[in-house]
Amino acid sequence: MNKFKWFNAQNIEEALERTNATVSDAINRGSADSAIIKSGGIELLDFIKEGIIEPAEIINIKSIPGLEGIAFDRTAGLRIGANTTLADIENNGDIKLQYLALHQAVSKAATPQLRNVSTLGGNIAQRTRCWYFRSIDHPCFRKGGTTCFAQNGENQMHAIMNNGTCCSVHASSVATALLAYGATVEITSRGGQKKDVSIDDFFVNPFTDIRRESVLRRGEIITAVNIPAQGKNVKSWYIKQGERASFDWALADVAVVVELSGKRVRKAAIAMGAASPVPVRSKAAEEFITGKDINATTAAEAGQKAMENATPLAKNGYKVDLFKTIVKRALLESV
Amino acid sequence: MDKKTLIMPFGIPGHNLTQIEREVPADEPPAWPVNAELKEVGKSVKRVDARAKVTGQAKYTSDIQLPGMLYGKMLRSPYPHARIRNIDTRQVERHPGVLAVHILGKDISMAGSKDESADNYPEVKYIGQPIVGVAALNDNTAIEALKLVKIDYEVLPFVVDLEKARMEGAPLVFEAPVEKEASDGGEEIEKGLSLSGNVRGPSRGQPRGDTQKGFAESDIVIERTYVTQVHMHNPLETHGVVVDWKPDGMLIYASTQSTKGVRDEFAQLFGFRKSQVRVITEYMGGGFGAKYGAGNFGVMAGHLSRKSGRPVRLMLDRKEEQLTAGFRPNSVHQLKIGAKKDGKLSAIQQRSYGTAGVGLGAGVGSIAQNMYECPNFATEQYDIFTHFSPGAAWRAPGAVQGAFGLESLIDEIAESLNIDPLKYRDIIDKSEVRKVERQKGAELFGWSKRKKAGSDPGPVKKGMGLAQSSWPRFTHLDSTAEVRLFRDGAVEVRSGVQDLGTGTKTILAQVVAEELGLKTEDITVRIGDTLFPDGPPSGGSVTAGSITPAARNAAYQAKLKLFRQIASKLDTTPDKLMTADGKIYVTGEPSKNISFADALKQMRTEQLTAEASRSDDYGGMSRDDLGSVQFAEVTVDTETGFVKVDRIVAAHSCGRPLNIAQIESQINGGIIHGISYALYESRVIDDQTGQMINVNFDQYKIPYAFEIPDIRTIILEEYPAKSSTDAYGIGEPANIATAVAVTNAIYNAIGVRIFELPVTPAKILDALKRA
Amino acid sequence: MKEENHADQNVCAYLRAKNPFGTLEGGGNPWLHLDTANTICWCVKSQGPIGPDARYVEPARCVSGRSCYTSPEFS
Ligand SMILES: Cc1cc2nc3c(=O)[nH]c(=O)nc-3n(C[C@H](O)[C@H](O)[C@H](O)COP(=O)(O)OP(=O)(O)OC[C@H]3O[C@@H](n4cnc5c(N)ncnc54)[C@H](O)[C@@H]3O)c2cc1C
Repeated sequence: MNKFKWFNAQNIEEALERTNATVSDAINRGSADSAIIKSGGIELLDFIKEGIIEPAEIINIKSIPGLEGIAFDRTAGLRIGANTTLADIENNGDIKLQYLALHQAVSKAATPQLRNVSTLGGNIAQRTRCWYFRSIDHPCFRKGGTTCFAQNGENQMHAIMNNGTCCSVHASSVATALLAYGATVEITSRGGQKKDVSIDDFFVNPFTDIRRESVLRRGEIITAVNIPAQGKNVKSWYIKQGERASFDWALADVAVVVELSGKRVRKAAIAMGAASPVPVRSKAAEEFITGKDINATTAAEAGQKAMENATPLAKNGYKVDLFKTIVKRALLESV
Repeated sequence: MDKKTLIMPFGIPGHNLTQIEREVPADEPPAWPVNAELKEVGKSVKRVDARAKVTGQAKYTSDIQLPGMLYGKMLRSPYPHARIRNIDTRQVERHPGVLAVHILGKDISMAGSKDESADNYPEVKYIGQPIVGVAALNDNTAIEALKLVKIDYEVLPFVVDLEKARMEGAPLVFEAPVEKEASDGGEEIEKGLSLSGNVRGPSRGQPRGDTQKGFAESDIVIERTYVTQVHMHNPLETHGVVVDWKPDGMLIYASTQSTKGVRDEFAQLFGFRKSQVRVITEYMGGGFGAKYGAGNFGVMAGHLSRKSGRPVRLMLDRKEEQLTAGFRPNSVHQLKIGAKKDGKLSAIQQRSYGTAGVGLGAGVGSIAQNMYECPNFATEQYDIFTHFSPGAAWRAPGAVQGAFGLESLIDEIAESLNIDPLKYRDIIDKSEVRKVERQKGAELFGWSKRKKAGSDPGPVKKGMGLAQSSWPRFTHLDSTAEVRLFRDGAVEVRSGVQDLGTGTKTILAQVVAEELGLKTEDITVRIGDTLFPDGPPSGGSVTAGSITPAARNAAYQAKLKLFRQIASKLDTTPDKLMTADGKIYVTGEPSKNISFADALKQMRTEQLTAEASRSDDYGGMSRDDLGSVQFAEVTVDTETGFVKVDRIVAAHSCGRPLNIAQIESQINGGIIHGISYALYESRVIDDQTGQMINVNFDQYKIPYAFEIPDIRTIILEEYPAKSSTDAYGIGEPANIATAVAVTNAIYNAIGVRIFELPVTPAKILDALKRA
Repeated sequence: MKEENHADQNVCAYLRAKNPFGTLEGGGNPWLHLDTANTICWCVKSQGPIGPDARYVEPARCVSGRSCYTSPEFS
């Protein structure tokens, strides 16, 4: 681990003033004089420990007052400050009642210790856990290299869709739930300008830009995540499958948010993590289930539909079956 | 040597306990009765160092800080195969924070390191092979400084994949040896098992009978191929040392399984007498077979200390540990077994290959040879060399791989004969120990509730399975302990033996306390220091069986010395004295006694000491086995392929059990290792670069709390009458049967067999599809 | 497994393996019953299974005649 300077930011302005690179910038352009934002620091320190980046300065935003907190309003919906820890989200009663799938996703992410420190902003801004990407010995596309080692290598955890360029999957399983709820990410840039980016647009596919996984640029900071209020008849469920039952990254995870009228599905959002380089919704499954009752047959069919366009690699075909099953089960559980 | 005769308990209480006469050396203590009649031995005694460990007071090698200590770090090859053309250390030598730089030659000893020419650079044969080391003021400086070293490599073709390495034309790891070389005297010498390409072997074990004939006479013959993965050791404390070289000797703190082994190697390497080298391992954070010898990192630290004149700490980081510090080799194990209608085995034939990287030892052990009665047996075990760091012994080396094949196939044969797998083992297994374990285990487990394979309705299915193990009773005779009595009341036991975390300290205290009629907590244990008499290395599960008899014998000798000094004070003769409950009594006259502490006050000298060693096994050497039977229940989700081990019942023997809680703890550890081997752990190497890519605990999957099942243990008392404590080890036996008990249970759940470890969801789904 | 018999060989002073030293089975010659297919051997001088001469080490090969051989009598 290299030596670096440490700066405790007192406000957003100050942090944005000092930072000059995102982790992605540092990986691709060299990190020698970079000043990078740190919230919980779990992810950032991993990169530094592995020697993948050697930033000159760390801008601690955890010290900024007011960047954390959860506010819920029945009409306005939910607002979660970027610095809010996953543990605080997990323990929030409103979220548990109104946004069950988010509660489930958060409580299944990482470990209790990590959740005490990890923040929501850091979570959606984290980079992929692809073992080639995380290895200093493998100069892959995403690190400015000329190949994707996983395409013809050890791709058992990798993407089964949209995987032609880089087959890594996004690390955030929390994002799967955020996507199903139609969250928006509030981004503040220098000068205090704010924009709301829908979560669909927040993540960036490798074929769009191989160097990053979100639209965040240096000089920008996530200030909050907003989730619209959900109707009375909205039900949700989240399932994550890792290699272990104890904390583990998702091999496959699914968040389902359905609006019912009676037993019939009026609207459905079915989001899948670890299927594609970024979290994706399955339009095919959503369209299929809309207008139908959820039962063993329709749920199983929806699972099939979700995997219609799967293009598994040599070692990850089993993930297709995993998704079929957990899409089915999440639908059944949601009602 | 003078001999005497002892009458000793022999056999299994409640089953076949009798007495046996043993001729033993005259200075051995009298025989202990069975555990029920003992006070300290055979009980669940709290670890003597429990408090030190949980409060962090225990100092491990990685905690050692010496005045002026420097931090060593090594630059390692990023290539699996290369020639080193040049090493340029000029820049790093000038780094102000660097106090010593050292290049490892082909011969890394003191003598060998004198040649610093390029001719002396070894060929690189694996990623992570250490080349240059520096000692710097701190860790970060050392890491930074290594970036200043310039190495010019000629990169060569490599092979890391087991199957590719076997193919003709694969890049060679070792040049074919000259099969016969002239010796000094001119005669020709046989040069061991043959090497062809990267394939070395076969080792043929101890064949017996005629397998062809055996198969011809069989009513049923099944042949299968079993595949196991590479399994890492993952000790919490990585390999490492702190070395302080002085012109007149060396002091080494080492995380090792053998203090004396490390001492002897350092002495040889640095040109000292053994008495000039002191090795200390007071606390040790696990080794599982991988921590033997000085290690290239240890020797590097020695050179850096010698060059800088300061102590040097060199602990591997996790990535270095995973890349270079050993692993359990993988295996491809073809096994063919023939049986008669009545179940009796008629032939076993095995053929295996696996890779320990640049090292040997990837065999599947001798469990198929030894566990069951079978007149005809043949084996061929091959080692395949690959460009990867060497493997290392790993908790029952070979046996775990071998058992996966053997116990799977025995299960299959039982099923085709329509015999319950538990009953089937009654037919083919002659071990009395396992017979009792099967009975007790089956009852506790509820084996009778086992259903037909795959018969659970619904997508989530439960299954039950069992498997057995055998492991030889090894002992290490060069094992000595000293017991010291102090006038102020202290009683100390001392030995060079190390405690890997298994509880060696506590059993030594128990054994000495029992012999002296004291309490375990009255005994001070000082071990893990080569200033004390040599203890055994801790491997092959030898520690308890080797050092506790020595400790008991030493306590007995010390006691006799004490008796001689105080007998007159009780108006009796030494042979009439005995100890119990903290007192010394005159036998038959309990009122004539003195407290042990008061007796010590009467000693002529401030200290009294006696030393004793492990004697030969009473009744002659035999390796008869330490048996176990383990039962597993699992839940398999057939739609996701996920397996959960719900519970394990493990029945084990280890001679006379010394400390029940510690044995349970060892068994728990062995079972957790086994579950992990069955379901989770696997080294992943990227074939394109030759690099291991799951080098950390994020990507290399070990089990955590939710993966641990309900574990029940049955610890059999079994008295082989072989030493003064009659104790044997449990470390390795605990680990052998678990994985295959789990896979047999998976079969029972889903009705389909999996032949390759670890059993991942992908393999379950795949097997179900093919079924 | 007791297959390879090295009893009549003077194994190099620098060869080590996990089992042989001081075990009952090997008696005066600890290499006697070593099964190299299941034992990992190493050379003290190179601290690994690759000898100073770049060949692999094992009792049968670490004997007089090998360029890096040292007789146990001289160490
Ligand atoms: C062993 C392990 C298991 C895990 N398992 C899971 C899991 O199952 N599911 C899951 O979702 N996560 C998992 N995580 C991820 C963990 O939740 C993240 O590390 C964490 O969310 C990152 O949060 P942080 O606050 O520590 O981020 P930091 O390390 O502080 O930051 C991460 C990145 O985000 C940037 N950043 C931080 N805050 C902001 C902001 N406000 N605006 C813009 N950029 C910002 C940083 O510059 C950095 O690039 C796991 C982590 C570990 C170590």
